[in-house]
Amino acid sequence: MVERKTPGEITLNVFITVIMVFLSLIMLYPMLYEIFVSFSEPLKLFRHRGLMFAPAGFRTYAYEWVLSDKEIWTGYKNTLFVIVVGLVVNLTLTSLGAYFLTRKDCMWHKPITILILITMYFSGGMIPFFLTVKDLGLYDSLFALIFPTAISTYNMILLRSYFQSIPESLVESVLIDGGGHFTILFRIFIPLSLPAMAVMLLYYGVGHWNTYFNALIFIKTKSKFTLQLILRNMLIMGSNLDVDEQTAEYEQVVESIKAAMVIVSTVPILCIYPFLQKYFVGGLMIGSLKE
Amino acid sequence: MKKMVCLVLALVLALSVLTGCSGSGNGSAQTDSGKSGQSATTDSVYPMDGNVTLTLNMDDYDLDDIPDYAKEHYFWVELEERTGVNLDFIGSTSYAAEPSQEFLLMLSSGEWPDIIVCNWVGFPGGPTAALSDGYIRILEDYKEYMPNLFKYLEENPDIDRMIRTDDGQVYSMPWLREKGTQVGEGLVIRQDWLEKVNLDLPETMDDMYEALTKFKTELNVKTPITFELRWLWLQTAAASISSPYNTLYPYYIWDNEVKYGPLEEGYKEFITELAKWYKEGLLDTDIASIDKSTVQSKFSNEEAAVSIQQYSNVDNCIKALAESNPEAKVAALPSLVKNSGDTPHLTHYWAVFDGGYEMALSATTKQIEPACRFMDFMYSQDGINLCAYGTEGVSYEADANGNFSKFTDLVLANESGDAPSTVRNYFAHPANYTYPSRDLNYFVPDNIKDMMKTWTADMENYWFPPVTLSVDENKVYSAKYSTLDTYCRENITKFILGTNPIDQWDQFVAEIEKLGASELLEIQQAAYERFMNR
Amino acid sequence: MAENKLKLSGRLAMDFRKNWPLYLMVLPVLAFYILFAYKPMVGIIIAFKDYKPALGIWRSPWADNHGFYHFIDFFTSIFCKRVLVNTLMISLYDLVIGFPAPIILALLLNEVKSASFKKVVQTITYFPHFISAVVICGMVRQFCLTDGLFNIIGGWFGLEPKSLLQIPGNFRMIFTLTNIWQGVGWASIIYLAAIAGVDTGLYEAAALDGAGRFQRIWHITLPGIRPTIIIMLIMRIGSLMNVGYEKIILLYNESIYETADVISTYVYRKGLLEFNFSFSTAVNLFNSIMNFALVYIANFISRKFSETSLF
Repeated sequence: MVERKTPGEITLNVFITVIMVFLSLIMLYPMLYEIFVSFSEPLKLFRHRGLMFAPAGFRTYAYEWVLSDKEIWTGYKNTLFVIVVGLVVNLTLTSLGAYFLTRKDCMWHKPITILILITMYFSGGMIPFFLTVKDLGLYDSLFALIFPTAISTYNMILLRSYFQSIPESLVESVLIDGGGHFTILFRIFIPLSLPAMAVMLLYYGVGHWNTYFNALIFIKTKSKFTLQLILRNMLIMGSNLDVDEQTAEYEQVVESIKAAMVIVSTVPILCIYPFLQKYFVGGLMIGSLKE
Repeated sequence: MKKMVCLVLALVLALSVLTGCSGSGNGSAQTDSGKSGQSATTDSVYPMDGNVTLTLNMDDYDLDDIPDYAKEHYFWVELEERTGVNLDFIGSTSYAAEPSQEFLLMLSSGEWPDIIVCNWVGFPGGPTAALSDGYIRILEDYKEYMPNLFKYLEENPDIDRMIRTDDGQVYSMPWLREKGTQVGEGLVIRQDWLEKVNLDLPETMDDMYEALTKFKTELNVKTPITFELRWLWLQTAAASISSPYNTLYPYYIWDNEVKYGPLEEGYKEFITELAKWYKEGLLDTDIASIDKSTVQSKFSNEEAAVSIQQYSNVDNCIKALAESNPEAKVAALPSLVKNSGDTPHLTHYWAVFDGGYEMALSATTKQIEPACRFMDFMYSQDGINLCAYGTEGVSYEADANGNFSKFTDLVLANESGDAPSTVRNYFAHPANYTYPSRDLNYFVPDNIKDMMKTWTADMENYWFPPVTLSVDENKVYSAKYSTLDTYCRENITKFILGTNPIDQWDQFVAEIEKLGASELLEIQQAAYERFMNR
Repeated sequence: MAENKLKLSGRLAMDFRKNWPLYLMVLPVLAFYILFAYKPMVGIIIAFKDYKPALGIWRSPWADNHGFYHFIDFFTSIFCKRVLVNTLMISLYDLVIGFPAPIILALLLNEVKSASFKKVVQTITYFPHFISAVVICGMVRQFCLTDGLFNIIGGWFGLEPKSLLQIPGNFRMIFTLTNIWQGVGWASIIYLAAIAGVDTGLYEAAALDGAGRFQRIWHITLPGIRPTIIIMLIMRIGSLMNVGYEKIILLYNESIYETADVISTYVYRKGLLEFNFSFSTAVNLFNSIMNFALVYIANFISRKFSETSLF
């Protein structure tokens, strides 16, 4: 590629770089701000005016409070359970479904495809969904956060697109060797679609991590609360976890405690995410392969 | 005889309040714990046989969280032991005046516990709806299993009248508060700052305005007054500032008539004043978007000068303030009045009975008799003592008649340094009032007690009692009230924030009339008259 | 006729003999759709009833007005017009401001010449996607307070500090910008992928013809990713009346219902907070039908004016 470095080009490059740096700052600063607040001393924090570039004073009380709270750890444990078991269910069902959608030569292909596609555009709505899940005996069970969200039709279609890019000749060779559909799926399709599977993992994983609403309506026992549900009660409703712990000190540092909870609940993602990125960049293409 | 026991008990209670619990120091007579409860009428025998398990919609506890000194006689453990019932807590608690979402979902799930705990007065449609929609049963039908409750009601006709539906049905085990502990929150002000700006304690709305303005301009206080906006909707929670206008949201009684705040001229004046405060930066600028913890933290961090505080929280605020600023002084204010020298009428009000924590028998339970007998235990003398004071000889000592005489040192001066109220709550029922009643003030520090006295007014005459609606009335009410309520809250908020200019108030009133404000008021009036004639 | 049937059933039997392992594979998938997608659709019937949990779906009585009581109730409610308008307005904000944002970001990123710098920027812009809605909304609420971050920044431009989430006029913008902040990086991935698929030979040819960078973007990159943009646009238009409640119920308060209350939040409050299941389901059904119609129309238009369509 021929690149002529005219002054205009250079200005443009500088301009783009400045925009990108500025954008990155906007993306990062809110989290930094929360970190500063979480380490601040309450009185200094209240007196503080303007942007923060360091904690106002230094105090770790907020973290001591948050980390010594049992409910947060229970929340983490439950969320982890939902993510791990959920992902196994998600990936199994999604690949089975996606595989079926690529097999156009059976008679039920079209009716079943239509049946599946309709659900992308029409659903029963919040209350009937709740009643259904309850009727299935999933009420107040962590499985209520797993089975009802086992397949995202959108993801399944993405995966089907990826499967479709696999040469049909490979399928035929397996069939000639006497292999069945299971062999095709698990020996050929899935191993050849690892980047796409990584993307699925990511999509579903982020979904499980982010949602609080299903937990809000389906989970009633405190020992089954997920992390997001606990965060919601604390950050949005302003009710702290345990009334007994409402001490004089708590009243003062509550803003820092909220910030510390934000940090404690985001740090694990921060740690895992750079490693994940490697994989989902590899699977980027499937987005554009859709349809 | 029974009356005498009650009297003595009340006397002891009163005495212990006055003397701050010095007690008569009479060595604990190890009386048979069931003795006084089982005298005369009851044929319930506790502990019950048959290894009964009952489910309740309350949050489960974890014995690991209970300090070692309280593990053995922890309230729920002790309750299970004495009644012979295994309790299974299924969560979905609902303590607030309006049922919680978790609770409503649990009801709609159809999986109901044997005993449903809820504020049935605040349930959509009230107890009548809960009965006619088939959630709970009428307790009258199982009178024979509940001798203690019905005996108590017989002896206390004023309570009896309050807790029944219009049809005269008893539908729950009522929770009752001790007379004389009806106020739990009110105005607090930074007295040291008042002195700095040379003002006396504000008495009228104008005084308050002057004080707030001076705090703002002279002391540069960022948020002169703060409270939670939602308190405006909780009937009496914000009464201390609406009192000069003799009005409340939503319903209250004035001259034997039910009034609906937004329809009253006084309410408009009240909102006009709040809007003025907000506009001038005196009222918390974030009032519609903050939560309770923020209110607390603003007052504790010297951000705010005046606040409406609950008695249980203000203590923490004062302590926190004292730590950071030894000169800080907090004073309680009586409800504001129109003209200097007037006596305030409206204030925060905890009725003796308002529906909170009621236990009801679920319509689906198969264990009617044990459930009834279990609930009835709370009204036996033994149950009353357990709920109020804990275990005899451990957390409290009894006099020769088996009645409470004083708390032990385990409670009053625990080695762990836990506050007496905290320790008591391990042994006795952890809520701040109980079946049928107990002294709320026992462990309240003197300075807070004085505050509560300051907040008191003759609110019992103006408070809207827990009336019940007929099925037909309920149909109209439930079709219209929620829209009306949403519309009112939203628009009144906007009037305060200045989003709606106050001169649109008349249009607002016209709109709520269209939504049926007067029609609903008539329904409430009729229900109130029935209530008074019970 | 009878012959046809025989033939059909014969063919089905043959198909089944041949493909039964395939049907076995799809069985759990079908079970999922029947249980969690179609069974709730049957439950929609409560929109036409006065649902009482104690009675269950089938034994609850039919609603008045031939079952349409709750629909009439909604259409005559003072909140009906408002929630419809709010839903549409929030979608339009999202369409006008939110939709182009990731495209612009992708185009800009594509112009970044240093690969490592590009990667750092990408890593940073993807990051907010991984923060949960609860945490983001908790932060936004704090930042919107009178002495919050947004007001501090506003102060630099001479704006008077205000509690931003108490002013109805602000909500849509705050909500849209929050969504962009969280989603722009992530959404740009798909466009970056599309850009990567554009034939690089075209750029070289254009460069030889002396085309500037803007011209290359305009004449090569944008047309190259047009199918992707159109697909995304159809999906967006199809969901114009479908605004999620998850974030809004974490952000709004009574003072801004005027602009923040959308159909789904209304459904949530009516159904789960006020216990009015039938009414809530009726509103939901109405919304679903509208959504379906919109998707159909968007697809129809797209098929008419371009080669691309969803189905």
